[in-house]
Amino acid sequence: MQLPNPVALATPFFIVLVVVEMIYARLSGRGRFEPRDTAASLLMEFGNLVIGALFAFLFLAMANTLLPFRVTDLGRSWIAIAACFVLDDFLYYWWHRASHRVRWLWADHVNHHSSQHYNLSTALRQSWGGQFTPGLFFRAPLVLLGFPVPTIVFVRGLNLVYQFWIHTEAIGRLPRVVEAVMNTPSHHRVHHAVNPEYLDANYAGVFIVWDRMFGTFVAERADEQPHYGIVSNIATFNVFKVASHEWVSMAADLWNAKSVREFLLYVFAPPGWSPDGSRETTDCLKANWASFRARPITGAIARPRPGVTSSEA
Amino acid sequence: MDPLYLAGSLAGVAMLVALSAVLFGTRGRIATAESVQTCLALLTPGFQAREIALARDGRAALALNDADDRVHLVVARGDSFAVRRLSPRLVRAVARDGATLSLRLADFTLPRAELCLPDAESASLWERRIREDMR
Repeated sequence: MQLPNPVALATPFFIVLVVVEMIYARLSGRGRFEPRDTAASLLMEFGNLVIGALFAFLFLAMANTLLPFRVTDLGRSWIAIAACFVLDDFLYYWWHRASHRVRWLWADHVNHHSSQHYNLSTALRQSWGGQFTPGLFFRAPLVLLGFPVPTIVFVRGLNLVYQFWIHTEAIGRLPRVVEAVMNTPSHHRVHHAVNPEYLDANYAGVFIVWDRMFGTFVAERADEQPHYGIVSNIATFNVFKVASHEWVSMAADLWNAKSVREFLLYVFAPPGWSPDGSRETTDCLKANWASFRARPITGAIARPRPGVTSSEA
Repeated sequence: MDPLYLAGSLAGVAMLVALSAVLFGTRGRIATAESVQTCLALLTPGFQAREIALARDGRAALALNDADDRVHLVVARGDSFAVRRLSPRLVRAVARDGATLSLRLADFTLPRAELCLPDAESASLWERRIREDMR
């Protein structure tokens, strides 16, 4: 059984759907596009495809190294493909969670989050450096369990195709049963949001049940509109800078590390970690927010201060 | 990879960007005191600007947090804003030429920022605040 490349097959539909979403967003006001941001996102996808093709041998080399150690051969039946799809999504959850909690992985994954827009072009804003992170090894269990390599590649492609349509503000909430089991636009908007209440949540690829099981699920609230991007938003549309900004930042930190411990923590600690605590991790941001919310409400907090002066020209 | 596939992909990118420009325009966002306060409050819980200085072109602003006297820089990027707290670690140099304030930052995507403030007096005040923050 020859398995197709789901992403290649879906690409024309991606383009059509982006056009449809743009027109719908313009007419309805549900969603925003910024041409330079759209260009950056789409060129990130282009670079991802080229680099992915050039370095595909790395995954194949890892798989070939592990093949002699697999426990069985599960073959290519549809049941095996379905089981591989579910297990791949489970491993994706853990890769994705680690990608938000380990700076080495975040240096790569941050690119997907660096747009302040949330539309279908954001889905295509894929990073260029995944092959240079330990992320590759999250798929090793599938090889060791005995799933054929083409099946693993196929289900990964299906997973990516599924995740395309959830990057939109055009779709509100879906029926309760769908929201309970599947990753949806509503759940994924929370994942892309920088609101303190929404940080580090909803890591699922296809099945939101993983977040519900492992305590990372946060529901979108009607009274808390998501704001998208990263906590320190990048100030460029230059696609090379978009792709490399966190790698450059991490390299500078590693260069200035004063001990092996510092070096290792710059690599493996959560993004925002610093030896003197002068920067903020998402845990700090959430804690600050929680303590702010716990303060007694005085009335002065919510209202703009009358004393604010503006030297607007 | 098939060169035709690559060329087709790039043509698709160009078409989508052009359509986006036609439908949504290319005018960048202009900062107002309200938008600056809103975007700073989003990331700094309880942020309350004691004073905000908008650049004449509306593409950047400086804001002083009432709680800790820290200066924050807000820079328009397309239709959105990028925000930086001007910490000693971030600011490499600050210079003023009349009403124009120039900042050099240790930031890969925002290495420098230039703000033409309404007058030299205002620029001088903000320059002093940033220098004090750098100590």
